Amino acid sequence: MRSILIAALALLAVPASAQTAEPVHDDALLTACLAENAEAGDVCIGRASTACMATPGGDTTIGMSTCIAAETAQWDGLLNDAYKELTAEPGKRADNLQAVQRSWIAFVDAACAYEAGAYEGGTVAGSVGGACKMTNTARRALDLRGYQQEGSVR
Amino acid sequence: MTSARPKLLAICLAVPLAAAPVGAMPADQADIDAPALDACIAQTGGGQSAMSCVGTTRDACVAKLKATYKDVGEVHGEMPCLGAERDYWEGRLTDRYDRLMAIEQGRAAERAEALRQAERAWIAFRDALCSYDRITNGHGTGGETAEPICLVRETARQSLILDGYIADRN
Repeated sequence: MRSILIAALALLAVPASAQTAEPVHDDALLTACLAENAEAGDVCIGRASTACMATPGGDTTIGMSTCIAAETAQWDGLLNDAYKELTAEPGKRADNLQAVQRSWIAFVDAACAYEAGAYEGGTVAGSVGGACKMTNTARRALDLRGYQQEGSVR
Repeated sequence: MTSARPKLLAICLAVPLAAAPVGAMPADQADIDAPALDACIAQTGGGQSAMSCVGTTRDACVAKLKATYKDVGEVHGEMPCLGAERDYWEGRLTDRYDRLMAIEQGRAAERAEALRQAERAWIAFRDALCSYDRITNGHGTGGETAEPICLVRETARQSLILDGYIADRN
């Protein structure tokens, strides 16, 4: 799947030239998708940024990076919300989750540096690194939201 | 490489001596059907869809153990089977890592180093993640099997991610 994404990014990567339009990211897309797919939020990953890339200015290298960054920021917000709630009560559990989260950040940084490094010097390197970070942030946000749901059952 | 082993030992010691044959512990007897897992992965076409293969041979493994060791309970049977399944995915991961490392070493020293760092960071993350599953008992769902289940799942996931990297490099 990643190969397809990379190929698509390479095809779309045209010079920014005279493009002045700012691509538009719509927060409502992810919110609605998660509401519809409560148990399988994975299907929502990448939808908002893909839609954003279809807006004027979204099909340039800069536009794509902007769209990916915008979706990443939204997932990051969801991740932080869940994390704050899960660590609200001080104790062993909160300390442990903090340790997990710290190691997760180091893992994503290293994994995405490795992924993007494969395309170093190419126009898509930045987008590959950004897409890697977005996907990982989304997965982690979904995991933490899953913990919250399981926690409420307990 | 932490966790599972000490627990397995404790379980082996807990198995009543009446369970014949004496001396042969369930941990040694736990048998995961590797060809069935290989076939499952091939059938899904690999990648993350192959995550559906995780655990598919576990029930058969537990059933076999219970048939041999009449006193082995569900959970006690599951632990050695989880150990055996983890060995399967670890072996697969090591194989893919070695292959990928050979490719990167052929490209540039920085690429090999980046891969080494990514894998090291992944191991630290996996261990932290799965130990969190232990202290939360799988968030109220898993009991003592929560950590080994997490280790199996995450190791499987990583081996499939490395498949993707290898495919991209070729």
